[in-house]
Amino acid sequence: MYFHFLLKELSSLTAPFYIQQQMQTKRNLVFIIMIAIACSIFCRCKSTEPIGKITVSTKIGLDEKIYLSKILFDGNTKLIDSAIVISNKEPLIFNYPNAEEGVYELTSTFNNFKIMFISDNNDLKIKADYFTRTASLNSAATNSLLKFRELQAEHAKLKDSIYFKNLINYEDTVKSPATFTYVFNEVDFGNNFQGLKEFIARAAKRFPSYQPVKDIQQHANNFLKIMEEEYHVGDQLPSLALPDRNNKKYSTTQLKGKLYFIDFWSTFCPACLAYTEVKKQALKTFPASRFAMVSVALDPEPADWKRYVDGEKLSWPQLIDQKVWEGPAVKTLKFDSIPSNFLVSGEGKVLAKAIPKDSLLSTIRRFLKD
Amino acid sequence: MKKYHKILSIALLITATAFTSCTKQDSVFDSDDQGGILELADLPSRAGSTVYSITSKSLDAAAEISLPITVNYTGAAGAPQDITVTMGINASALTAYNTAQSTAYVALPTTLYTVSSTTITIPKGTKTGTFELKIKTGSFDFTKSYALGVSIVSATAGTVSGNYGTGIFRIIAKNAYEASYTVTGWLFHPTAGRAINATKTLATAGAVTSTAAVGDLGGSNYYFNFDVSGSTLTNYAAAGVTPTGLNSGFFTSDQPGASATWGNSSGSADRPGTSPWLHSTYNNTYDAATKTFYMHYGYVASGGSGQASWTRQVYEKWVRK
Repeated sequence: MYFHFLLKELSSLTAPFYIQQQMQTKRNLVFIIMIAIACSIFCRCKSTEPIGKITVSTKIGLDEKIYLSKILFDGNTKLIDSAIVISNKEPLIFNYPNAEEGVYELTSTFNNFKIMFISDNNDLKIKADYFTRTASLNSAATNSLLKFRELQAEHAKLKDSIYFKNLINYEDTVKSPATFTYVFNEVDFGNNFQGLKEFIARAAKRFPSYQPVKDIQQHANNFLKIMEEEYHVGDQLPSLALPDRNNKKYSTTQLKGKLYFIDFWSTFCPACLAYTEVKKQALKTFPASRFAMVSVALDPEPADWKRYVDGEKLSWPQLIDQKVWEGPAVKTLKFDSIPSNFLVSGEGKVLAKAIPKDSLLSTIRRFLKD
Repeated sequence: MKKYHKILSIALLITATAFTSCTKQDSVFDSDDQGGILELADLPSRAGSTVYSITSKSLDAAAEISLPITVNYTGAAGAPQDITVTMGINASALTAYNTAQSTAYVALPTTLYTVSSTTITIPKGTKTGTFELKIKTGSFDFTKSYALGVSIVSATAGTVSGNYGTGIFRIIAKNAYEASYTVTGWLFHPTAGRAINATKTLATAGAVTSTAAVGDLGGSNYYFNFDVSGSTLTNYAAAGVTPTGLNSGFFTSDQPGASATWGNSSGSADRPGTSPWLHSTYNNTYDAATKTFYMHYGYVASGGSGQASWTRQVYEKWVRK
């Protein structure tokens, strides 16, 4: 409309009447062409959006509802669409954005039969019989997974090592990245960290652009880093910054120049709570000019943490890491259990670590004398 | 212009005809309509194209439970006299419905129900009578979709409805625990331990038997069945792809030694048996007053020798929504 108005205004200022008539026709033509171009661009944009189609031929009670959900790799599901069955003679059509392969499920209000499938093609056709609780579909990845599951059910009668070897072989050869990610939860390397590392590296090489595999790799690498690395006595301990009791950021850099004790605990860890009394004693025993203390709670619930801190009147700096094992405390200081602690020199070097509660006071005393 | 009007008239006529053919049949029961029609009261309106109307009856899973089917006599004044109505189970109606609608409802076996009398009475001046079936829902095969065709066979007065004289009754049995629950807890795993925070459902598998998803693995077809016996959960049975035998089950104690590592921590806090993840709390019990389950179960892929080897350990609290 704006262009139309502008053309009209410009032409009326500059042309005689008969020319204006011709121009009017031209203006209309130009306007129509502009609209057509805009429409074609818009329509093209819409039509190039990747869309997958799922055609579901049902055998189910009429007026029942069928839900299409995506199974997220954290185990949760996200509802994508739903439809009411008014006839078993006409299939239901679901459309979904098909940016990358995923795992989906069909559920219904009819009964608790679920159909899990992998969206490895853009024109999935599913025959779903909710009466016999059976389904068939044209997804090579899904059919491969179902066949593998049947084989594994047989192998479950065999030795654990064969079952696990089959699982790894399947994961190493499966073509569908969604299937790989879906089955990954069953992979268990125990404390064979090197095996896990190599396995993840192989998957990352095969599916370099699949985001869930990238996420698995990052998660596994973080885990391996924590399990394989740790700070020893004599190492320089990095600083840590986290919110305190008043939700203000507190950094251990401000403890530079002082001997300090940093410990990691949680309200749900009885062994950690056993340290409370001795920490209170340490605070009373040693001069604040030479010694400091900071406690870091790995607690998902701030309310629980505050209740304990206030109840016990813990007066030294109290920090919280709500992400618990996924948070900056574990990732930065690389401890893999709580209670955990370090005694750190004024220069930031680890003087002692994992100090038992019974020897905490004597250990601090020894280094303060030095 | 004349031609245009003609086309418009034809279009309107076609539209009107099309809509007429889609119009639903008259309402099932209207006490003010023309009297003297006998109808099955529970049936919903149906389109003219459907063979019979269908309704669902959800019953508790029990040894035997009543299923009353109401028959209406239409009209404001009620029955002009005592009317004796003969009722019947109509197997051929169910077959016809299944054929017409491409469904596969299973006729409820005669071993699973009893009919004390096929005749009912609508007393003079009243509008309803009740045909009563006794259903043995506790003995159902819960994987099947049962239904019964029911007909008003004849009556000593009035006219049996052509549309609602016969209907299909789907019979669903649910136990006392089938519902949606808010589930919180923790799934201990050697390398991928994680919190459970989800809405899960318990499905009926028997009068006291329910089916639950293992942790957050329902999407992967990991399920198990269990019974509620008073306040105790018993008779664990693996279902779906959950490992069977000694490879899965309910715990009777905390088993932190089943794995060398637990998730991101091999330490005392983030492993089974550390508060709050204690078997003494998650002790496989049901609190009927608060409709809350406390569960502690686990599994290992294969080769397990009992709970001391289960490297996946789930501590869950289920609170009914």
